[in-house]
Amino acid sequence: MSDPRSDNELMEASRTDPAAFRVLYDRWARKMLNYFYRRTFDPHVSADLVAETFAIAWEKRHRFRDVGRPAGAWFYGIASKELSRYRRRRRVELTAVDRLGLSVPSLADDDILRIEEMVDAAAYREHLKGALEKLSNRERDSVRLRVVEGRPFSEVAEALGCSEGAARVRVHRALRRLGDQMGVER
Amino acid sequence: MSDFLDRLGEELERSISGPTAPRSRWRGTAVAALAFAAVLALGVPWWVLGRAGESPTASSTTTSASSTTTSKVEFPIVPLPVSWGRVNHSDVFEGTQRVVLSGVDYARSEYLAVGSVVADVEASAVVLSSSDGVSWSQVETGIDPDGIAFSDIAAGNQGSVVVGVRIGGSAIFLFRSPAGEWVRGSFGSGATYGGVSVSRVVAGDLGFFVAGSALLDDEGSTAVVWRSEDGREWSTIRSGSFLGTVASANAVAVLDDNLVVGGVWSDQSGRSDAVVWRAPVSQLQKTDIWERTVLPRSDDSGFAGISAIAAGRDGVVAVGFDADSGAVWWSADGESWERVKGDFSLEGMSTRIHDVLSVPAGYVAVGTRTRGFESQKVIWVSADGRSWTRMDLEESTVLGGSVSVFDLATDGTSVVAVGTEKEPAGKGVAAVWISPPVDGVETSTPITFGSDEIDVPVVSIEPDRAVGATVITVEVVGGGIGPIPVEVNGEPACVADGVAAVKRCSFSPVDLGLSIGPHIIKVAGATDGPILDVLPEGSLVVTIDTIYQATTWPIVFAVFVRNDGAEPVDVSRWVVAEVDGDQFQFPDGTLIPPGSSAMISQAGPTGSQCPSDGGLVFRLCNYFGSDRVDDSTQIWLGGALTLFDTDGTEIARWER
Repeated sequence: MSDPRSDNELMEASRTDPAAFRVLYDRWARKMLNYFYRRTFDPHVSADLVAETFAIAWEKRHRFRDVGRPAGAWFYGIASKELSRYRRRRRVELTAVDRLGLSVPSLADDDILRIEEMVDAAAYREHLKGALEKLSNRERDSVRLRVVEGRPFSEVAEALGCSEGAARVRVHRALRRLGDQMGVER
Repeated sequence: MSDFLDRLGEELERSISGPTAPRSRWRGTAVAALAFAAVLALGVPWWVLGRAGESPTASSTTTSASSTTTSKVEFPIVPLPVSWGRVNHSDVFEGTQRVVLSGVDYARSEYLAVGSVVADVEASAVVLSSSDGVSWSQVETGIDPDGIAFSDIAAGNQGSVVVGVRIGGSAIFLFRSPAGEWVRGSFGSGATYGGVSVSRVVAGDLGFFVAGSALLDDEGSTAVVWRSEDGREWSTIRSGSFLGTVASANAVAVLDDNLVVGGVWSDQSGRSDAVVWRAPVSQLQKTDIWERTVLPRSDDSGFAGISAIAAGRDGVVAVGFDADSGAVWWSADGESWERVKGDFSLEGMSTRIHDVLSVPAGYVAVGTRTRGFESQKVIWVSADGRSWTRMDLEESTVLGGSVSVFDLATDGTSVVAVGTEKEPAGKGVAAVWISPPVDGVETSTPITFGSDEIDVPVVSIEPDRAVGATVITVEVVGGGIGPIPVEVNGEPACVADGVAAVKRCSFSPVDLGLSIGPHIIKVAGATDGPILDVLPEGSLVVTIDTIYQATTWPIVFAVFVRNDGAEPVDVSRWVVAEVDGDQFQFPDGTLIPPGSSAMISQAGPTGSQCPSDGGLVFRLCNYFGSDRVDDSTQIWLGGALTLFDTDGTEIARWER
């Protein structure tokens, strides 16, 4: 039987009751995994980010204040911050996980398949494919060169036959259009 | 639910139901220094932030140039150390020897300085201790000091490590446990290398790192880094990239998760460069992971090298020398470096920058310039690591001789520099300086920076149509770094700011309550305020415009909500929210007058009452929990702050 308490009540209760936090985990873990996977397309990174997010949430739970905002927004806030940190540093820092002594289970092939099924990755890829197709050839090329192939802007510029500065602008605009096509919020 | 999430949930439940595991990751000094990234005081009057030398609980009356609102702060900001005093403690050493202090550090409420007493070719190690940077005494280590010269000390909560060399022998270390027990050990000797020397040691949560060098038995030399988690057992870190015709590691710092080592390196071409080696802290033992970067030079003549590295806000600064000039390099990531232009040389003298220290308001660097047997100390300050000002200080000497300065340390309030003074006959004393000067310390007079004697021409008196008042614009000719507070009749009026030598600010005589009659306009003392930055662009009535760090340690933060409009704003029940959900809600009846700021800070001496004084200074009650202190993961790392009104409408947003 599911716990009748609201997320905010569980957050308050989790200050002294780890079981309440586990209920919150069960409610939000899948959403967090979904959130991360759709932004990284990497199941390992997503798994680590989920673990770090909940470790941070546990550490900071006593600072949550029920002022009318749902606890879910609080989880998303932490997730957003961790995602930004991951993008900035190109790696997941399991700082809170380490402090907590939390052992993050390794992902088996089956796990990866399940995660992709769970977040409906196939549909998302189709969505991405559709968005890419709506870009111009030049925009698509710039994204492919820079993002997919990871080539430096100097090479992107050479391939596109433009200056490096122009290449940066093209990639930026193409990614922005791609984001618009996919409904990415900014 | 996937199996993975189930397993993770079980692990999580196990972890949070049991005892909390100890920290295992390094949150070292450099990471803490990076937290200084949030210290820029945007648009806050200098007198709001406090003067140097005030006690952490001192109060100061604040008056805005465009408002008569009075606010009060309970802690001062650490300014850039522009005023220095010479600590005369020649009585610590007497005799004919020369005393050289080469290293200093601060931890556990104590400064420790190390060096050596030099007599002819002999040396004897010394360790000094001081609780305040002014009164020093020798420390008895219980270890025979003869034949030993210490070069540096790193003091941490887990103990202190002193490094040096035994004359004609091996590189050694002393470890002092928190209980005060001293242990001596060696980094290796000719059995490992042809000869070993050590230059620098730093302390962090993961332990200690030492930078040094070793002569190779066959040919050339190698930079070497040693690491210890406890200060007693050391491991040697080697890499092929450390090898060179001449190679030495002189400096070490942690930037993010990378160890950054600076030094000198040359190959068989004979060119000798300043270089940085860099590797992830987690993979230091992988010999092939180290990247060597040759730092840019002003030209290719002479030798260049790095003496010290300091990680601060937004990046890392390396200092050293390039030919006959002092040299400063700056990097945002420890990977790409730029040579910083600045006043680092003096015609006919050889300048070396020996150390750089990150302080909340920026950086301070010290060095020595020499001509023949004459030497002078030089101090530079910078708000951002890329724009530096040299401070020429009237030298206060004990013996009338040459002065050199080698190392810096801070207790969070004061900065201490150590070195030596030598008279021509060869006698010398240990030299210590402190900033800001304190009672009983002979004060050096800053020449570069503003003082009461600076001429302050009033360049214009004109009406300001926007506010319908007469506005006086003051032009301060004095240059120097940072803002210069301007007083009228001894009261704060405005802060003259701007780049380079001319700074301007304006104030309204009406707002200051000035009647007809003569009024004294003058520059208020030295420029010991923090650097002001421009206000955020836009026409927002209320902005979150300041987050800064106070002197007190642990770190204290504050958020300012500033009313830039012409009318008072009622912010009752408005919310300041951080991206992860931390929130502060203004109490009913909170009114911010035009031109004024409400300040929200962590719990201060008055505890966690909120608000604490009935004015516009609010103590932490439900915002930025005290567990944020000393927890660098909780300090802003790019997260946004948003101000919502009672309808949840976003009014203002602050993002680093």
